[in-house]
Amino acid sequence: MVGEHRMSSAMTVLATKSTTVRFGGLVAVKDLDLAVQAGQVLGLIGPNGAGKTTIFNVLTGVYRPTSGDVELEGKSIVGLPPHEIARRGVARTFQNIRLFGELSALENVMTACHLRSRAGLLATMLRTARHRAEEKEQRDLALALLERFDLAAHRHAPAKSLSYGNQRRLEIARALAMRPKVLLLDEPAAGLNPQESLVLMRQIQQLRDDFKLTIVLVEHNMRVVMGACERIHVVEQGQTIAVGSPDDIQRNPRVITAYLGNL
Amino acid sequence: MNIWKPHLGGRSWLGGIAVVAGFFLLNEAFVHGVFGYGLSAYYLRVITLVGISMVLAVSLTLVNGCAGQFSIGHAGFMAVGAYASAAVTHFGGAPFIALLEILPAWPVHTLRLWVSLAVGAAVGGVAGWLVGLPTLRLRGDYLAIVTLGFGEIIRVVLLNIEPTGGALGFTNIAQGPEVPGRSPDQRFALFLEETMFFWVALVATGTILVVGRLAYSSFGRSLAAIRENEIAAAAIGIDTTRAKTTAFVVSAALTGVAGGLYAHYDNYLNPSSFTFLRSVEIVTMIVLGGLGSLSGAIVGAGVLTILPEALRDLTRLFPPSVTAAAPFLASLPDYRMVLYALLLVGLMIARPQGLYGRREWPWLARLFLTRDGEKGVG
Repeated sequence: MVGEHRMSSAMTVLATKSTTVRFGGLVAVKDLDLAVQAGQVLGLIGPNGAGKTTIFNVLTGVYRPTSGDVELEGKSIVGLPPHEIARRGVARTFQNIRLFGELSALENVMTACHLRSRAGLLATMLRTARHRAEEKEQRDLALALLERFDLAAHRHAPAKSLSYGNQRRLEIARALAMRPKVLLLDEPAAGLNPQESLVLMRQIQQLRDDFKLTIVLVEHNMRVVMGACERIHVVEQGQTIAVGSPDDIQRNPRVITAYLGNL
Repeated sequence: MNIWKPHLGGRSWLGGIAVVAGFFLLNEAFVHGVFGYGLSAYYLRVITLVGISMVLAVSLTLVNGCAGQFSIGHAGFMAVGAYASAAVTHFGGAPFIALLEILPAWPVHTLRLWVSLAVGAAVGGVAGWLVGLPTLRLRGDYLAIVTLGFGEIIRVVLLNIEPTGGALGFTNIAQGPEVPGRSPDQRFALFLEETMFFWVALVATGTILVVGRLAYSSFGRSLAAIRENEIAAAAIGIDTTRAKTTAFVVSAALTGVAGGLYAHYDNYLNPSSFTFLRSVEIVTMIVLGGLGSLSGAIVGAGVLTILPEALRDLTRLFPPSVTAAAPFLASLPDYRMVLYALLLVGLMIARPQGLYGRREWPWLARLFLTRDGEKGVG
């Protein structure tokens, strides 16, 4: 496993290096070494309260690690504000869906297209040709993404009026509109029915291929995790307890103990 | 349901020229009675003040409505803009008076007004930036408190600045400083008196255009994203502090222009015009109209400016026989501010989302957006 890590370290897109996050006396994440290789679907699992969402918040700049480093394509991103990390190619969805409720589905996706907008404030006020071309470009990209996620029919509906499953998919569509390098999915299957989670499981690898993504997935639905991920990183109480393929993880006694207790 | 998409068509110069010409003709009609539509000074004043209120309400919409940041200090920006542009007119008249010797009068006066308004906008914008930059990093209530404090500080500072009149007020703005032994130059003041309706109408239209174009664009969507969910907005790469500050500066600059118009219209300023109550009045306009709706801001500005005036004539609503039978009706106008408050309370109970909610008049929306091919679904 050490050899494998060294071999592929050149292609590591996103990594934490002995990262620790402390909230007062509570150590939420301790000495975490997480490495996500380019093009990989990595599952980040662990019991409730293991620190998975905290890790996402560290990766996206919402929290600053107490110590240790976070690297995106070999460059440290510690201390950068969340929007700057997003602009460098890290997109995410949220465990508790965070859409722009009053905005339509189309507008939700269009807001995330602004990254490539070059027209300034004056161009917007004057409605220059460039501004108009960019508006159209954003709209076309957003429509294509809605089409891809079967949301085109709902494009004018306010996001808050969509069904739960549609909201989840809209959030992914919005994240993809940023054309990210890395996509962090925080419990994308939460609240989906078995049918929908099965579709999602198939979609995740498809997305990775179509959009040339690297995906990190936090999920409790083991069928989705085992089906979609190539590599799994297990944390418990903020510490790594196992890293490996889905098969390794399923047989790993420490993981079984963490989830089920000592049998 | 939003079934509009951003306007992608060409711009219409013809429309612009038609609007300017229309305002000019209206001005001639109202002020000089050219077509037999002359207005009394009182009605003209109310209409002009409605125009200034529209500038205030529409520019505040960008901050309170679009970006969801609660500012209750816009009277401060108005005061800053008013005093700055008034000071430029008052103390910087010499070059323009010299120009009057070689050029026809109206271009010189127009230039003088524009320079003053531009300074009002710039100073208002800078004030917006100074207040916004440190405070917009904070969320929600903090901004309200800081803007409130800022408005009061400005007012107290103005009370104590002697060159602009202090507590006595800034008088004879257009005539310039008094020179002993020489009668003041009235030409600019007269020009303003005869053309202010035109200028106010033009600026109000321009403000609606600027704010509408910003609100219904990529920038406006970023502001709406911040309003709806700031964490998600940052997660999709929106620099929330920058976007909020930009909106704040644009809004403060436009409010500064409104202040400049107010100063030149009255030819007099007093710090007591810019109390906390003025800020609340502007906020009330856009809440009444519907937060985030330009149509709502326009109507709110009209209603809140006209209503207190209209209530003065309350007794006339009843036929003489009724007023004779119930003499207390004659004193109704004394209670106009009470009725005004009751009407506002009633409106907010009947329509808590404001008169227009987030909707726009179709003709107004068409200025900024084109109708999507099909009806909205869902």
